Amino acid sequence: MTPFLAIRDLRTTFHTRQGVVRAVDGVDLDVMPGECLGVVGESGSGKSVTFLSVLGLVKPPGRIESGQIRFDGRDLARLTPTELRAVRGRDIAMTMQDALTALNPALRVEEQIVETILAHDRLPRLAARSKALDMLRLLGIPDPERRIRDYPHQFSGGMRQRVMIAIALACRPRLLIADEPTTALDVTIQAQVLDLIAAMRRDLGMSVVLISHNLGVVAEHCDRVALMYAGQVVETGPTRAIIDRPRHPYTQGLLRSMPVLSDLDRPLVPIPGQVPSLVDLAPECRFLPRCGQAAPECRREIPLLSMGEAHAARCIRVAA
Amino acid sequence: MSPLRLAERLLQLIPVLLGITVIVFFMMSLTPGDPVELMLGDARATPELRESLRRDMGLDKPVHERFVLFLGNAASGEFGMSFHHRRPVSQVIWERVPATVELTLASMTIALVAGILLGVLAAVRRDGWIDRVATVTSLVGVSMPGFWFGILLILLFAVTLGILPASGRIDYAGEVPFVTGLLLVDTLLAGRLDSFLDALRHLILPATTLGLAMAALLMRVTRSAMIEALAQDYVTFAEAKGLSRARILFRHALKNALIPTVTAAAIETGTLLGGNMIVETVFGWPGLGRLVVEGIFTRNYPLVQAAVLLYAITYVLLNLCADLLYATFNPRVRL
Ligand SMILES: Nc1ncnc2c1ncn2[C@@H]1O[C@H](COP(=O)(O)OP(=O)(O)OP(=O)(O)O)[C@@H](O)[C@H]1O
Ligand SMILES: [Mg+2]
Repeated sequence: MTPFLAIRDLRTTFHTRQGVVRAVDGVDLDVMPGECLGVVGESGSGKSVTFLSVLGLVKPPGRIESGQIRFDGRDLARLTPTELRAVRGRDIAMTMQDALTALNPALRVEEQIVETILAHDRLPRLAARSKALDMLRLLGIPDPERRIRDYPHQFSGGMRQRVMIAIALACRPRLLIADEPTTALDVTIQAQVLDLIAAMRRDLGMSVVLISHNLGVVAEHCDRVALMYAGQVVETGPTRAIIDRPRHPYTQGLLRSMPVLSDLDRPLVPIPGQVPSLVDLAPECRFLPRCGQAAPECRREIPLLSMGEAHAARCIRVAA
Repeated sequence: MSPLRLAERLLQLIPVLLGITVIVFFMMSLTPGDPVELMLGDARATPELRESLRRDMGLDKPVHERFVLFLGNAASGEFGMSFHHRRPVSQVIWERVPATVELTLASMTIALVAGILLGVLAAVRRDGWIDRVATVTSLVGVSMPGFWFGILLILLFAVTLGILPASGRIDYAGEVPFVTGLLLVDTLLAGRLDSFLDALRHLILPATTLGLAMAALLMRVTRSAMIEALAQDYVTFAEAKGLSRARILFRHALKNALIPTVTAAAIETGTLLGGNMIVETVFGWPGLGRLVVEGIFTRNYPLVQAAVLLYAITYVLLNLCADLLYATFNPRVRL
């Protein structure tokens, strides 16, 4: 099957006073039609920047240095601003990490959803409005006729998240990029929102990229998982394979640091150390300083090594 | 805002206005010297005349009675006679109000349009040449004294180039029937395009002079507010929705950036009221500001008193407008 979205060797940097921050450094990712891909990694690993790059939303001092973003037979990195605008929101939609800051505080929800529809469809205003109401209803927002007149700050955190998702889905995109849709929410609401996204994916037949800190959340909802570390994909594969046979020490560490319902007495082991600075990276495995299994061979650039079954990891132990 | 809330805000103004009235009244009665002597100056007057003037002005009564009288009169818009004009003060003032309103509105329009547009442009093309030129211009604009800038404009456009008039509101031949008192409106109502253009030509220099400092300030406020707004998540989300650049700039970013701009504009309007006096004097503009300046020189106390009160009330009302505007732009504020 050909991928729906194929990211190849994407490099995005930020030119800061401290030096060049290599936020995304040679990322390859595929999203298949209808699938849910989970992208997991610690804070600062480059998850958001990768997908902001896909939509051409990286702002100065950041810029895409190189790479391909193939979507629908086109390279998104080569599109003109007008062409790109037609893709955003219509073919690929994205939700932001925090709905409170992503929604404009000065505009009514009605305007923020209707403008999205009108940006892509030639519709009378009233038709766009009723489409907007349908969307809010679909996402389980009570009394949408009244709530659509409200401003974002008048909603609760969970409802605000739903509003943002409603806006993103308003044009029935073929791919939804959900950037940590649940981080700002409490646990019960988290589950509701994730189930909602899963339901939307089924109903609208779209693909989803679910970005998260939490491997557990991703494992539950995604067909495939990609783990990111310091701007690179360090392991990728079918969810089952990753959970059952993690090959990268980082993935293994994440799994050890995750609470497991069936075994609540198991001690949680956090990964010691911290993510390296993304400025002046040495040509070696980026996880080396934190790795318990490091060897002298790790002091070189290590490619993603395949283990079959579309399972690959960026670790010398794969070859062994 | 609900009508009830508005009524409440208006009621809150009453003590403020009362306080202003007290200050204006005592400011005048505490001025050293006998107002009658001051008003008459060197003019020769019989003691009987002085006495009758004193009685007309109510100066023979004790101060608290005079205050109650003043309050009652002020409430009914009655401020006594302007000795200088030999007509009621209220009449003299009302005649001059439209010219000042027209000048102030014109300079506010210039300041808002120029300040906001340049501010947005400077923010979007940050560190580009527009930004640099606008920033330097606004620095100069904020620090340059209004009368000096006015004289420069007169020298350049009226004296050297001779393309714009240096003083007055309209040519004698262009006069039109009085409807609103705003010449730009009245000339159009009278269907006189030639007079309209003439009035406009007269308005350009004084309005630019008066609006310059405000434009400069608004440009700087808008610029930094726009830069801040454009870095917000909601702008990225708006871009991710596929909206046009214009919509993102002028609806999403500007609606938020205007919150500080509106506040600054309201504060600056008070400065405009003061600036009126200077600009109207420099450009021979027949408005309230020049009337007050003349009133001060001719020691026309009833007139100055009434004008100061009018200025103060206008200022308070403008502040209320600013609050209302602030709430419109910032829905998180509940008045
Ligand atoms: N505007 C910027 N200027 C400089 N560096 C930046 C900028 N934006 C992002 N970065 C850097 O890019 C790296 C990746 O950031 P990114 O936001 O993609 O992380 P993330 O994986 O989404 O983390 P989180 O889980 O906290 O959202 C970070 O190390 C960050 O320092
Ligand atoms: Mg992120």
